[in-house]
This record gives sequence, C-alpha cells and structure tokens, in this order.
Amino acid sequence: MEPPTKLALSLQPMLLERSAPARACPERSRRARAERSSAVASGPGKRRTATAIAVLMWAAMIASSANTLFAQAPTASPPPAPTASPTAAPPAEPDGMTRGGYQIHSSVELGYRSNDVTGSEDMYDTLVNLQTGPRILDQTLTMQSVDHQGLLFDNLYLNSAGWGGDPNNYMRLRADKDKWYNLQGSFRRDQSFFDYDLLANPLNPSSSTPSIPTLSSPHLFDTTRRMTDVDLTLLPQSVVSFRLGYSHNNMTGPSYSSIHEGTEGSLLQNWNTTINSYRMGVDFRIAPRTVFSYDQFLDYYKGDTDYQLHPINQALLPTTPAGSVSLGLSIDTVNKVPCAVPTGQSSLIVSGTLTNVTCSAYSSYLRNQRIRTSTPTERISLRSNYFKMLEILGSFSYSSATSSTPLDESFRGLLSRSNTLAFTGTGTAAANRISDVVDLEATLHLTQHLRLIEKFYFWAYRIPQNGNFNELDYSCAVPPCTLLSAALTTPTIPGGTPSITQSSFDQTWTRNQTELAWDFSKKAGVRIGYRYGDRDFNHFLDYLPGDVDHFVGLEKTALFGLWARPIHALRLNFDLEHTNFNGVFVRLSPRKEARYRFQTTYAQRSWATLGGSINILQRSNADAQTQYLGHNQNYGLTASLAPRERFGMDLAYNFNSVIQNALICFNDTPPTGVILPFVMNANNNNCAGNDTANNLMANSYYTNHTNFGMATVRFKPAKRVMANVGYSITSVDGSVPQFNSLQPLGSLQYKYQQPVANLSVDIGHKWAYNMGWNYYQYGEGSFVGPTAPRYFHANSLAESLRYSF
Amino acid sequence: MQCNDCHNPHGTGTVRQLRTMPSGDAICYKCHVDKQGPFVYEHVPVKTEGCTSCHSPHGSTNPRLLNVMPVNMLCLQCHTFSTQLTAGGPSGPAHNQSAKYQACTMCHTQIHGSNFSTVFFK
Repeated sequence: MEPPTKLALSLQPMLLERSAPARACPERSRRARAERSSAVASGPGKRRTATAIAVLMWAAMIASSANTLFAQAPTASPPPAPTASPTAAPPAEPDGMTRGGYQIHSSVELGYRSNDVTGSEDMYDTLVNLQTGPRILDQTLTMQSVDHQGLLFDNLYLNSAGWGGDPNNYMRLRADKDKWYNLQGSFRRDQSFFDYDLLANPLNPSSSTPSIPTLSSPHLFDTTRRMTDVDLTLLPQSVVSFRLGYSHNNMTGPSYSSIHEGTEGSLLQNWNTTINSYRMGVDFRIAPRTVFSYDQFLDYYKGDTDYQLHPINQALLPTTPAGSVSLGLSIDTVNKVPCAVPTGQSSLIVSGTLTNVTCSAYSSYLRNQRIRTSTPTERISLRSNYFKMLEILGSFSYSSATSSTPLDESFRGLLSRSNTLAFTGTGTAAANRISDVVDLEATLHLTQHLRLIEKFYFWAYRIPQNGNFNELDYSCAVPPCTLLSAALTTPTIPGGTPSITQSSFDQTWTRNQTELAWDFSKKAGVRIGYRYGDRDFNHFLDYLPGDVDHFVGLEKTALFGLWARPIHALRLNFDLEHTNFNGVFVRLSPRKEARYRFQTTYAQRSWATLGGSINILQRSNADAQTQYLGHNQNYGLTASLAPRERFGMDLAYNFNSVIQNALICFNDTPPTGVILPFVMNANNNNCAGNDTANNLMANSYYTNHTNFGMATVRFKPAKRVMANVGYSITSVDGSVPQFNSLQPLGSLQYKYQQPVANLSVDIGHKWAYNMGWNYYQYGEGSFVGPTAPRYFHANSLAESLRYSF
Repeated sequence: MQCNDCHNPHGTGTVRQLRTMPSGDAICYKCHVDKQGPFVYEHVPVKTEGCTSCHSPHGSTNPRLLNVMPVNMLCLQCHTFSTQLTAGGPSGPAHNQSAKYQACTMCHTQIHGSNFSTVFFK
C-alpha cells in the first residue's frame, strides 16, 4: 500500500534509510570499521594528511573547551530526529573578501567524531552507521562577480559535506556565465550497510542437532553507491540553446544472497553495477514564451555481479584427505533439513565431520553473468504560454532497450533428490523493452479566477523475451549417490537438457484528467475534476494459440479540492479522490480507493507557527475470496515557537496507522506440541477445493501503529553561545499472524529513542567552535528469536572548528 | 533524498506528479538500476503495478521499506487462489509455512526479475 505523504513521519527511523560503511562479511566487520574510522579517504597519503589535521584540530578543541558548558551533537547522517548540526548556529555571516573582481565567501568545518556502541553493532550500522574518526564536516565556497564581467564565470557555488568516513558524502557545484553557459554538477557517495538479521533468516530451531542459529541476515549487504550528475546548458538565453548531460551511477561492495539447489546455499556476490547516461538536447525558442525541444538519451547499463559459494555451516567429509562441504543456511535435522541424523549418531556433525553423507550439500557453486543493456530514447517536447489564456506542456518519447547476458553456472556437491553430483548451465538471455510515452498538460484560463486543467498521459510498452539455455547434469555410476560418490564424466542426458523461452507481454495505459479550478475570492477556492484510466494488458506465454492472458481495466476517479485563508494567519487545504476500478490485475489491487488530505497552518504571532495534517488512504476489494482491506492513516501536529531572540522551541507529534488485511490460502503444519492460534483457527474447507496444496484459509492481518514525538529547545545563554537540546522517540506497536513459533515481531514492536544536544560558540576572528552529542537506543518489545539480539544504544560525539570569511 | 527527486512540481500528466524515466518507467530505477531490466523472466506485477505494490517509498518501519512483514505474508496476500483475476492468478506456494519459509525471498532471490529462472531462483 502506498502511504500518504507525511512530513513528520519522514523524521522517523526507517530501517532501510540508514546506511553504513564497508564490510566484507560479519566476521571482518570490526576490522573494516576500524580501518574506515581511521581513514579520511582512500590512500595512505590522504590518511596521513587526515591524521595531521585531526591532531591539530584536537589540540585546538582542547584549548578552547574550557569555555564550554556541555557538549553538542552534530550528525551527518540523514536526520531521523532532532539532530544537532555543527553548523546549527554559525557566527554572523562575515563580509568575505574581494579578489580578482569577485566577492568571495568561504567556510570550512573540520572536526572529529567519536562513538561508543553497546549491544548490536550490526543494528547500529544498519540504522545509524556514524563511525569514529576525523571529518571534513562542511565546506562552502561562493564567488560572485562584482560587475558581472568575470573571466570564466560570474557566479560559482561549491559545497560539500561528510568527507572522511561519514556514510553519506556529497559535493555540489553551480557555475554560470551570464548568457554563455549554466553548469550544474553533483557527486554523491552513499555507503549502505544492512544486517537486520531477521530478514531471510531460516530461524533454525534449537531442537536440531547440531543447533546452529543464523546470527546475521543471509541477505546482508555492504555497498557503496557513487552517483555523478553533470548538466551543461550553452547559450541559455539565445534563440537556440544546447544542453549536454552525463550521469554515472556505480554500486560496488560485498553482499550476500542465497540459492536453492537441494538446500539453501549461501552466496557471496561482489556487487558491481554501473549505468552511464548521456543526454543531448537543443531548445528552439520558436515564438515568444514558446520553446520546442529535442532530446536524445542513451543509457548504458553493465551488470557484472558474480555469485560464488559462501561456505557457511561447513562439515568435513569422512574421507582421506578430508574434503569439506557447506550444508547451507537451513539446519533443522528434525525435519530432515538438509537431512536427518543417522541412526546411532548423536548429531549430523560429530567432531566437525558429517555423519550423513546422503545430505544435499555444496562443494562449490559459481555463476557469472555480464548483463549489457543499451537504452536509447528520443523525446520531443513543447512548452508554451504564447497565448495569455493558455499554458501548454507536452512531450512524446520513444525508447527501445536491448539487454543480453550469457549464463555461466557450475555446481558441485549433492542434490540428493535427483542424485546430481554436478551440473553446468550455459546459454544466452536476451530481452527488449520498447515503449512510447505521451505526456500532455494544458491549462486554460477561462477568466481571471476560473481555469480548466487538462492532463493526458499515455504509456505503451512491450517486452519480448528470449532465453536459450542448456544444463548438463552429472550423476554417479550406481545411484543413490552420496557425497562420497564419484561423478561420471558423461552427462546423465547426453547433450544436456535444453530450455528455450519465447514470450512477451505488453501494456497500454491511458489516463485523462480534467479539472475545473475556481478561486472565487482571495480567501478561498475550489476545484472539481474527473480522471479516467484505461489499461490493456496481454501476456503471450509461449505464442501458442489460446495461451494468452488478457486484461482490460478501467479506472474512474472523482476529484475535489478546497483551499481557504479565512484570516491572514490561517491557511487550510483539503483534497479528496474517490476511485473505482472495474477489475483488478493482482489480488491486492483495490476495487475502491479513497484518499483524503488536509493541511493547515496557523501563525497568529510572528514568533509562533502551528501546523496540522491528516492523510488518509483507504483501499478495499470486497471479492468474497479476497476481502482485501487496507488503510494508511497519518495525523500530524507541529509547533514552532520563538517568543524571544534567545529562546525557541519546536514540537512535533505524528501518528501513523497501517493495516493490510486479506484472505490467504496456505499450508502450515506446526511441530508436535506447538500451538499457533492463527493456524489452529484457520478454516480448512474454503481453499481445499481450489488449492489442495494450501488447504488452510484465514484472514491475514497486518497492523502497524507508529507514534512519533519530538521536542527541541534552542536557547542562547550568552552573546556568542547558542545551544540546543532535544529528544525524539518512535514507538511502534503492530501485529501479524504467527506462522512459526520462532518468529518474533521484530521491527513491528520497538522503541527508538534519540536525545540530542549541541553547543555552538562564536570564538571570534572568524572561528566558531561546535560540539554535538547524539544518543541512540533501539529496543524491540518482542522476543529475540533464534538469532543475534538487535538491541543497541550508542553515544556519538562530534567536535569541530569552523572557519569562515 | 528530496521530494523533487521523485515528484515534478512543475507539471506532468502523471498522477501525483510523479517523475518517470524518459522511457516511462518508474523513477525508482534511476538509483535501483539493476531492477529495471528488461528480463527474460519478468515478475510481471513489478512492471504493471509498480514498486509500491510491495514497498513504501515514503518510509516504513519494515526492512527494505516493505509494506508488510514477514515477507511470506506479503507474498501470500497475492499468491493465493482467486477466481476474479481475469488475467490469471498466480499459483500459491505449497510450502509448510511453519518451517524455514519466513522469507520467500530466501529462495526466490531475484524477485524483481530474472534472466535465468522462471521462478526467480537465480
């Protein structure tokens, strides 16, 4: 379900929105973290420079700290709560300097961040990921030509932050030279670490012998994404102007996933994907206030991620010399995963040696691919308000993507079900995507206060697909095979098992929206509208007659909006949408959907602003076999008060409620002696007639109630001192069916608290001293489950000096 | 991220002024480039219904911004027999949910689309 937009909720901690520095695997993480924290950037020379800077900074801080009352907390991570920035209260803007015809302002802030973490460092890295070490926290350079006669540029703006080890770094550049060019560029580097250990965890039971809990998420990742965007406009004010652009997006780093071949093997893949995007465009000012444009795009994607076995849960084979195999992620010998303990043995692994050689297991696995996707796109567009009463914005684009990759796969081990000791997979995969897009918007001003807004969107695409693969399987001379059997040199099926795929699907989606907006006074306005949508989908499974899935869906939406400003201090906005669909393409698509949005601000005094918002999304499908009901409701209150120059405060509260309920058919046989109420109360008649493999039917429910509160107080205890203290808490309480007695609620029931305090002192002579302190505490309310505890609390202290002129 | 990374305040015919790639695909693919495909075996609703069928782009308390946890329930809510789906409904998995299948994606790892596996194993 798509949630309504919510400002306050965006401040809440979202498990996926944090990132972390590089770590090759859980075992190496501490070392990697230490290395990261000591490095300003890659390369020994830069590290030495950083260390020297840090020493100088630290000496300066100690010398100045006698003037401070308490510490303050900056953070360069995405602010989940009231976080104190080292630049929260900089000294008064200096006058800058004039050199070479430019008025120049510049600042740089250097500091040191120190952290201590108690509890799960993996969870800390997943949510926070601020590490210890010296930092270039912020840097800004502004140059403005005094007489607009600069040699290379008239205006230059350069800003960067987070360098030296923070997980998110960026640099932005803007430059322009009057009528000649306009340049914008940015570079972003985001390190993302994820180890929420319940995700994809097999929850290995303690009754297994051996009992091996999975302590990290099998889908852990530790990747770095580097994104570069550069756009140059030449002759921006001319009749004909040109645009050039380039974007580069590269993601690298270790990550883990899994593969099912007999049992669940753990895979390590060194992530390596790159897309280079090139843009060229030309604008023709064909008439006053009318621009016709042509753009050519080329996206070139390279997917070079390879997969190899991560030998988890290894055991020796009873051979001389002893080889070893990986038993994979799931270890549950009671349920014969990957196999049972043999009669007479105490465990599947005794003294490190495997006691059952009929187990499915991995000796090696390798899969290589080289995905190459080329996507050229052409677009023509027009924007005009040549006629005073009519504004037009429209475009048409055509795109044709071509993708291909070879397959190179090999496995050694044992697939006990098929008596396969080895296999190789080869072949070629190829697919295309051809699409057309029409995007039109026109606004007709019927009178000064009445306007008609027409929007039309058309998107048609088709994706033909071709796969041509062959698998060679190798068995033993006399099945059943064991891990000790020798694989034959000739494949089980001479020539292998080919598989050829030729399929395609396409969709045409048309939407038209008409709105009439009437500002009937300076204090209020209203709009009403109607949106009509039409989807046509075809899926050609194998191009045989009669084997085509076809779907046609219609959408009809009523639109209404109201704005009012009854008094100068009060603003009100309200919108609603009611949609009916005549059919659904997937089971959880709604037949009825309603959206309500309300926002208000009230500023009776110049020093006080109050705000409120309500966002409600409701979706349902009353079909007797689905009974889908979902909503996302969000209610927010904010207050910003600054009654005195030396004192102010911000308050925010937000409540978010999510439910998603639907009937499901499933299959669940709890272990002997385990009672799961959701399974016990499921109806075993309704599904059985249609889906014999999943005979249980029940109303699956998901509820999530999230409360978020935040308060910060700003005060100025002395002329040159500014301080903030704050606190935020996110409290989540939810419920879901329990399919497995070992399954905790995890992130559906937790509290995340983040006190913060900071201090900024204007030292004088263009120097400012900043200190910041953040505290993070994450704790779940449910039981931990058979994995590593996720609780942590941490202090993060940053001190910095800022020099500006 | 900022609002205008995904929404275009200056006008477009898309609902809620969502930006799109020049090809018309979801703007999510600008960063998540490996999910765009095209794939030989597409998980069709990813393309037809969009990323928001399973993810909450504005934020979620669930890992990977999933709409629902645990993962198997999110999958089962669509992968359950239904007679009302004119385009043919997906088959339900015949797995014992009490065992190791809390996350269907432990085996179906390439759930956004695969070039080599009809069931998104690789």
